[in-house]
Amino acid sequence: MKILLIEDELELATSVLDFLKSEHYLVELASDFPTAYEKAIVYEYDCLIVDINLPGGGTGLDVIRALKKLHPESAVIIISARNGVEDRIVGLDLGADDYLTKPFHLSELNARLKALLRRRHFGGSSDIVFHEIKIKPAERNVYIKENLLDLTPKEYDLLLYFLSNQHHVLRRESIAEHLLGDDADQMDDFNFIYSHIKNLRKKLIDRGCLDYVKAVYGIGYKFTDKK
Amino acid sequence: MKLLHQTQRLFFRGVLPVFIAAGIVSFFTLRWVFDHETDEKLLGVQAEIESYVRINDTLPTFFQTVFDRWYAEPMPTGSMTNLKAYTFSDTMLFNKFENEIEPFRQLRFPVKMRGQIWMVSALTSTVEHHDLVLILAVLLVTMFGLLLLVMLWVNRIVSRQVWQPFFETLEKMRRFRLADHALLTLPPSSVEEIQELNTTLENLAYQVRQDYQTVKKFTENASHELQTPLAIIQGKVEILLQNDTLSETQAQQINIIGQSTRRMVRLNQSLLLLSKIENNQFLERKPVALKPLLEKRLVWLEDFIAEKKLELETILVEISLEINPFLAETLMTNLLTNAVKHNIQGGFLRVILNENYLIVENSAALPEASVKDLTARFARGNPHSEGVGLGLAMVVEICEQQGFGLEISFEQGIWRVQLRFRK
Repeated sequence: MKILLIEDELELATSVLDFLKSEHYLVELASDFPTAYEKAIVYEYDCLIVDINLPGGGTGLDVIRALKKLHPESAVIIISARNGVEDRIVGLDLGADDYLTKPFHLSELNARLKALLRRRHFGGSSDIVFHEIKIKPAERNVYIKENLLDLTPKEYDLLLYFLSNQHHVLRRESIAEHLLGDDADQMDDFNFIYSHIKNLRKKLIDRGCLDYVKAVYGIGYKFTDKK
Repeated sequence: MKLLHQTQRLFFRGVLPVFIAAGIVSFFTLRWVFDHETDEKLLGVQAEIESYVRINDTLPTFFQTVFDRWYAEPMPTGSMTNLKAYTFSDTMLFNKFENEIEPFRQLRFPVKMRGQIWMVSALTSTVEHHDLVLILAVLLVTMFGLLLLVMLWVNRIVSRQVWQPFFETLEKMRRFRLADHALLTLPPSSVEEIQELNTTLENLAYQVRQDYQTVKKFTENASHELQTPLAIIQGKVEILLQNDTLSETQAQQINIIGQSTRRMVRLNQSLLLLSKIENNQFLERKPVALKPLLEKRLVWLEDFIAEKKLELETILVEISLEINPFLAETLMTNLLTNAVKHNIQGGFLRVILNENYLIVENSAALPEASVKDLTARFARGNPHSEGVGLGLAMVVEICEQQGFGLEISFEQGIWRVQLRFRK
């Protein structure tokens, strides 16, 4: 998968690059408007991750506008410091598929990117398989060894989030914010995720699934089949 | 005390003694004038009698009226030497016609007649003079009183007109709000002092607002600029934590950096939002149905409500309010999340919505600050809480801007917020 990251803050860009590379994406970086504009129209990417504020005479919105004329099939995720409702609406109107407000969790970006690419490339029909677990995102169903597993919406989201970020340490805040959505910053006590994780684990193990959810003491969890 | 009353009281205090003094002085002056007149008249009588006696060597036979009488009596010989030319005195005599005792003025003087000294007494009634003086005095006091009333009335009207621009200025100042965007313009006045006051106030308001805007702009800019470094820190924390070679302690310390960063991010976002609200960036209003908004938020909070085992009670009526949709959502979110966050294990949460008000009641531990303090910025009921303490300040700000009445109370373990849609 080829991805173009348009971000002028180099340190932030490096973090995103590192994380996405560990997920085996092919990522290129453009840190100003002219570079971004040129790359966006000359090459073809599966997805563009676009910051709105850019140096060099244009904004991320201008890049998206140009891109959508030439490569309408490319997916676009906007990342912006502006928490404005307006920006979000304009961005989505221009054809962006998703919008993330800075600061965001890299694991959240990763999950959204995966969901987006799945929808774009396989019409959402591609299954996510991890050993005995199979998720059919189109129907929001989970199968363990081909048997349907009954999960609450939050447990489903949790499992999908884990599978999108395999082998990564997921901080509690990141999990909580993923489950709660944009308003997660209203709350500061995330004990509730324990019960969801406990229930999910129990359901998986009851169906004969191995326990892939590893608690990382004091920090969060990791979904992995490695030791 | 009101300005008008103050001036009237001062006026009254100044003028009344003058009036009283003037009354007393005129009363005695008049009396003196009348007494003097009587004495002159008696002296006239004396002169007439003396000249008559000189020519005729006998007393004249004057007609004696009731009011004027005179008589003469012979003096014993030898008492000549120490006699005065005349002496005045006041005396009371019986008036047989009016059948009452009346005051008389008496003049006694010696006359030499037929080789003997006679002491002549001439008397005149002063009862009429005294009555006259009394009538004049009453008249005077009445006139003074009337004058005083008229002056007070005129003073009142004049004061009111003169101070009118001052009261207008006062009213405008009372309505002046720092967060408003309209400039303070005071009506021009022809009174120099008031014009000066208005100009000074206008300049002051302009200056204060300018400073206020600068501070607010600074908050907004600072909050905005902070977002990028915070995003960088958060990203690096996440990358660092993926490193398998970290020791457990190291990982936890890095995680704490991440948690603190998150707190800063939240604080920053709240500040940014608050300053946006204060800057009137959410002016657009449209009808917003409140019930679904509350229900949506309660569903969102269900995990937290379940975790605290809260008893939830809702009485919600379908109503729609003219309000900015974003502010409405922020308001409901803050009210409900506060009610859940600061609730106690096994407590309750009650939400009542009807046409006139929204009430959110919840059980809560005794906050360590007073209700009033809690509405201030960065106030936290519990100093160890993770909250940034801007939630309630935001509720207060939104209510003020939307013109809602807000009552907050904490009694017997029940925290209660009542929001009245029309003030």
